[in-house]
Amino acid sequence: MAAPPRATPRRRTNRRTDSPFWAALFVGPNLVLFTTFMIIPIVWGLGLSLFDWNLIGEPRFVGFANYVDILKDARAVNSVWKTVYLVFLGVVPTVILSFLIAVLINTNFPGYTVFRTMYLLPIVISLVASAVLWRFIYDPRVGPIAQLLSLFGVSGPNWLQDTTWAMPALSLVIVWLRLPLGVILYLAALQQINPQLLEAAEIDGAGPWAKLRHVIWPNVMPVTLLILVLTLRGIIFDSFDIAFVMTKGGPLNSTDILAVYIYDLAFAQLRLGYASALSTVLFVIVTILALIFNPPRRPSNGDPV
Amino acid sequence: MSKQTISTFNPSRRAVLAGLAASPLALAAGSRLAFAQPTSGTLSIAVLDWAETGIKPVFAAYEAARPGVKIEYSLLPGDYQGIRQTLLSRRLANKLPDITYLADILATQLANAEVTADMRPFLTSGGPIGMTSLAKPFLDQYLVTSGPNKDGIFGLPIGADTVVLYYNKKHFDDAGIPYPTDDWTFEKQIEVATALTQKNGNTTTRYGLAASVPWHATYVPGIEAFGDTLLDENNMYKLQTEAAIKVFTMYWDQVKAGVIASTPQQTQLGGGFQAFGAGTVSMLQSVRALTPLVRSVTTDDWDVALVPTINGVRKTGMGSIAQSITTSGQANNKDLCYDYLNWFYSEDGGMKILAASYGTVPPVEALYESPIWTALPGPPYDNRVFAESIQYGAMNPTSIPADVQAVVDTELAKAEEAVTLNNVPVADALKAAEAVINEAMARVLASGG
Repeated sequence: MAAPPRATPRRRTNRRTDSPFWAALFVGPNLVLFTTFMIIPIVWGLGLSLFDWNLIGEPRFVGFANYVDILKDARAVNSVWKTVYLVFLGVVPTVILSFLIAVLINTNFPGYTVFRTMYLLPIVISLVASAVLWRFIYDPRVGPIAQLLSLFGVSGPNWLQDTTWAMPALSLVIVWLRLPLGVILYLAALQQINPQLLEAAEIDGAGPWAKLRHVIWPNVMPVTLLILVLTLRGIIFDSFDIAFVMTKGGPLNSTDILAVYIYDLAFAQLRLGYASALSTVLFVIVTILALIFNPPRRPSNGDPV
Repeated sequence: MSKQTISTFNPSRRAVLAGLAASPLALAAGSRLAFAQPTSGTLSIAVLDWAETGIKPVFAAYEAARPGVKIEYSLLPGDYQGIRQTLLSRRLANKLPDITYLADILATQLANAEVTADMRPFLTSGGPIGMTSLAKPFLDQYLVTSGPNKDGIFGLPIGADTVVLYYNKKHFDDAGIPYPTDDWTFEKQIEVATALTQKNGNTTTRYGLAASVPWHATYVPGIEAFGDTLLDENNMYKLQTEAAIKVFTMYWDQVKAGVIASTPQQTQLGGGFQAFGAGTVSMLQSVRALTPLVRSVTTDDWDVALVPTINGVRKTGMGSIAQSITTSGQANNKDLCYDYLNWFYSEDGGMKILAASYGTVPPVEALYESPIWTALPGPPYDNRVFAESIQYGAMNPTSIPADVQAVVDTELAKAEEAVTLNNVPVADALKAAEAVINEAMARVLASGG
C-alpha cells in the first residue's frame, strides 16, 4: 500500500503580520503573565532552596544542604516512589482509555452525542468537588461501590484506608479527571487522518484491528506523546488536591506523593527552603521525563517556524 | 459590618486616620479618656471561618452600640496551620487586620513573627478588663514562656473550653442503657460504646464513640491520669513511657474493634459532629465551641456529660481559641481595639451575645455560672458539665513549637494507622513516632524555635 504523496503546504507571507511588532503584541501579554506566575516563582524557588527559612525570621543561607538532606530523608524517598507509582497507574490507563474512547466516539455509534457530553463531565467539576464526590463513592458503608459489591455478597475493602488499595483508588479518580483532555486531543488527531488512507487500507483488505494498528495509531503518535507529557505533568502537579482531600497522604504514607509532602513541609512545618529544594528536584524529574517522551525536534524545511 | 476578602482587604487607612485623630485627644486628656467610646472609625477583624455565624451578631451589636464605628471582617481558615499561613502572608504583605483570632499553639510563633502584639498593655491600661478578669488557665495558654517575647501575653481567650462527652439520648433509650453519669469510668464508657456499636459484617455502621486519639486533648489527659507527663525536662516527647503506651493502647484497641471512630473514619463520615448529628456515632468527645454546629445538625435529642475517669482520675483536654490585637492594630487603631475588647468581654456586651449562640463558655470566672449561657434552652441541658470540667483540665504543653506540633499530628496519625491497619505493636509505633518528633523538636529548638 503506497501512501498518497503529501502536498507540501506553501507558506504565504504577509509583510504586515510577520513584523516583530505583531508578534510582540500577541505574545507579549501571555509572556508577561507566564513570566510573573511561572518563571519568577521558579527562579525564586530555586534561590529559596539554598536557604533555611520559616517565613518568620531572616532566611539563612545553607548552600546545597537542603539537597543533601533529601538523600537522607526517608519520607522524601518514599514520596518519590509513591509519585512514580501514581504516574505508572495514571499515565498508561489515561492514554489507552482516551484513545479507545476517542476512536469509539469517532465512529459515530448510536447515542454517541450523549457519550460525547458525558466524557467532558470531569472537566467542569472542580478538583476538590471531585475528590469529595469520590470519597463518597469509596465509602465502605454507604458508597455505591460497597452497595454494588454487597449485592454479590462481597464485602469490599475500605478503599481509602487500605494501604494496598488507596493508591489505585486515587489513580482511578485521576484517570477519570485526565480523560477528557486526552479524548479531545485524540479526537482532533483522528479527524485529521486522511480518509483516503483508511479507504486504501480497506481496499488492501485491512480489518478494523489492522487499520487501528497500522493506520490510525501511527498517525496519532505525535498526539500520544503530547498526551503522555500533559498527563505526566498533570498527575505530578495537579494530583495534590485529590490526594490531600481524599487521603492526606495516608494511610501509612501509602499515598504520600511529593506534592503532598512538599505542602506539608512548606505550610505545616514551615520549612520553605527544604520544600523548595524538593520542588526543584520534582521540577527537574518532570523536565527530564518530558524531554524523554517528547524530545525537541529541529523544524524541517516544510514546517512553519 | 462588612465582610472582606483578602484581595480587597484595605488594611486600615481609615483606621489610621481614626487613630491619628483620636491620639491627640488621648494624649491631651490622659489615659482614662482614651477609653472614651470612639465615635467613628473602622475596625478590621479576622475570624475563624467556623466562628463566622456566631460572631456576626456580636459585630452587629458593637456597631449598634457605637454608631459611626464600622467593623470589616475577613475569614481565616479553621485549622492552626491555615491560620498561621494566612496571617504570616498578610504580615509580609502589610495587610494585617487590627484584631485577629488565633490558636494557642501559635502564640509564640505569631508573637515572634510580629503578627500579634503583647496584650499586657491592654490588660494593664486601667480599662474594665484587667489581668485578673480572664480565667488564668486559659489566659496562660497565651503566655509566652521563652524567647524574645518571654512573659508576654499574646492572646485573650474567647472561651473556656474543655472536652466533654456528647451523647445521643435516643440511642441510649433505644438500647435501654442509662445515660452517662459523673462516676463513669473509661471501662464503663467502652462497655456502653460497645453495646451501642452496630455492624454489618465487618463494617461498622454506627460507632459507639468518636474520639480522635492523635489529638492532644485526648492523649495528654490520659497520660496525666496515669501520673506522667508528655514532655521531659528537656522539652522532648516521652512516648515510650508506661503511661503513654497504656493510654494509646486502650484507645487504639477500640479503634481496631470498630467501637471508636478514628479521625480518618470520622472524616469518612463527614466529620465528628456531622457523624454525631447523623446518628452514625452515639457518643462524641468534643468541646463547647462545636455546640452550635452539633445543635444545627442533630435531630435526635442529646446532652453532655463529664468525660469518664481514667485510672480513677478525671482529666480532660482544655484550651481555647483567642483573639489578639495585631502589631498593625496596636500601632494604628489602638483605641478602637481596646474599646472593642473591653466591650466584648463585658457581661452585657459581646460575650453575652456569643454565649447566647451556644458557642462559648465565657473565659471569665465570674461568668462561669452566669445565666447568659447556663440558662439557654437545651440541648445541651446539663450545662454545669462545661464549667465543672474546667477544674479537671489538662493542657497541651505551651512550650511545644507550632512547627513541631505539625510533625506530632502527622506522626501520631501515622502511628494510629500502623497499629490499627497493620497490627504494629503500640510500643513500636510510638517509638517510631517519638524518633521523628524529637528529631523535629531538636531541629526547631536548635534554630531558636
